[in-house]
Amino acid sequence: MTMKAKLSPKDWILLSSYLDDELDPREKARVEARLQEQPALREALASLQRTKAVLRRAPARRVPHNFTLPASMARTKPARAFLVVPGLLWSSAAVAVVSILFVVGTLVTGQLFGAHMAAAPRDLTSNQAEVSAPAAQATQAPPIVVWGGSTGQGGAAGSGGAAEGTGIGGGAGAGDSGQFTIYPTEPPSILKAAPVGTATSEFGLLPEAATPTPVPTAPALAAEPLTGSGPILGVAPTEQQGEILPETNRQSLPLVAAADNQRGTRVETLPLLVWIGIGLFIVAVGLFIAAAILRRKAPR
Amino acid sequence: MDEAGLIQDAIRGDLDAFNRLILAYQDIAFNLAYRMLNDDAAADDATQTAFISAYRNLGSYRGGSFKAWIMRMVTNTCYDELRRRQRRPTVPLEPSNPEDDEEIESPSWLADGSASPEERMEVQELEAAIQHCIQDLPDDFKAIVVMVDVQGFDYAEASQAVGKPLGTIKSRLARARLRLRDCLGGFGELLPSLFRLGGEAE
Repeated sequence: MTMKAKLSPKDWILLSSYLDDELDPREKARVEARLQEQPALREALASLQRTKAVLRRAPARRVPHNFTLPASMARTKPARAFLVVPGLLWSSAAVAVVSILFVVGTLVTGQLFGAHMAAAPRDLTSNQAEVSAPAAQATQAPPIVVWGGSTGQGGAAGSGGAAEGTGIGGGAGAGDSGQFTIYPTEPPSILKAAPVGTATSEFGLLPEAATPTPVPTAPALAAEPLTGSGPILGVAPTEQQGEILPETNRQSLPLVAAADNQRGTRVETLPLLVWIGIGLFIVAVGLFIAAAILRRKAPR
Repeated sequence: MDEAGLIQDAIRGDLDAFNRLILAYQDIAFNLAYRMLNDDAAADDATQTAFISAYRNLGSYRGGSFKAWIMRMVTNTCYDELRRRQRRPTVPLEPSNPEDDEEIESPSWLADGSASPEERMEVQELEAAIQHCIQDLPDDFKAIVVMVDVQGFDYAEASQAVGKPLGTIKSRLARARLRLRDCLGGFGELLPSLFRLGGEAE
């Protein structure tokens, strides 16, 4: 039986480490106890000792020349790659996170904004109207009709209104008892052309300036006297119901003013945020590539 | 000046200080490169490249054995060269006499004027046997066995120099020694009588 068959790879590792005095005291004592009992182990150790002695006698080669660096190398400052590469990597990660936050934040706010738009079709309608309307009217804010009151209030100049009845807004129908106060700041041209009480909306959308604020059209609700205050505009006093508020009075309604401001800013900043996010992501990718190149060049 | 002071000066850009460190370590660096690459010119290039790389990256030295750190530069450079050879294999040329273009058995660097012809012959045979057996080892084993058995590194230095854990060093060294034992045993009578390994290999 050969010695190789008796010793496991672990035994050889133990003997090799024992030969170099690289075992901890407990392992060393265990190996020494086995060496006392097992001649094959002693023989194996002796063969490793002879191998090591042969290798130790390997002649050293003389260097062909000195490897000192020329003075021109002094101009090259030792690089601190261990600071540059991690710095670039961390910067890349930080910029990537910020860019993702930008994009995600933009998408989330965009969706919220979209939901807001869906809940307020008037805004969409007004946007479309603004596109097709003359420039002078495009910048003009729509009038506000104060709602509430008894039956028979008709929209002053809305679109698609019923000829009569209880429609509150949305129609130009003739109201039996509708009483409107139109502030004469800038009367819409459509109102000038068509007398009150004449259907004017049968040909589709009217310019935004002539579109009143939409209000619920359920007859049952409209037929009932409204009391209390609502979350949107509230119920105005009886003497103010049906009034069309001019531009100068819009800011007195905080929710309307806030909605106007919000709409304006979001429509303008939404693309900008997306572009910023994309730009930051490109910067992050560039930083990562630079770090990878420097890391590859640096010694491992 | 002590080594730590020279290292600090070199990190601050003092090339003279770094050159003094080079002079202290160039012998083991070149010999390690030669044992790994088995070619004088390639070892020369690898050693010079390693020292240049070491100077340019002194900032990454974070204490510990400077010798091991320098040797890591050398082993990495040698591994790069060995990988390059694997991609583009070439037939190594035997040392030759440039005058008559005939192959000679040993290069002139082995000539030692103080040794007798018999002693020189023994050294040449021993060198040839060792180098032959080291070249048969896997690349990952070469640097470890050369550093520990030929150059006298301890395991911690070898671990730092090759960037492997201590357990890997122990395992690879034991396997390398077993292979070398078997390989050197095959040389039998060619080795000096004191180091003959025949019989133990069985």
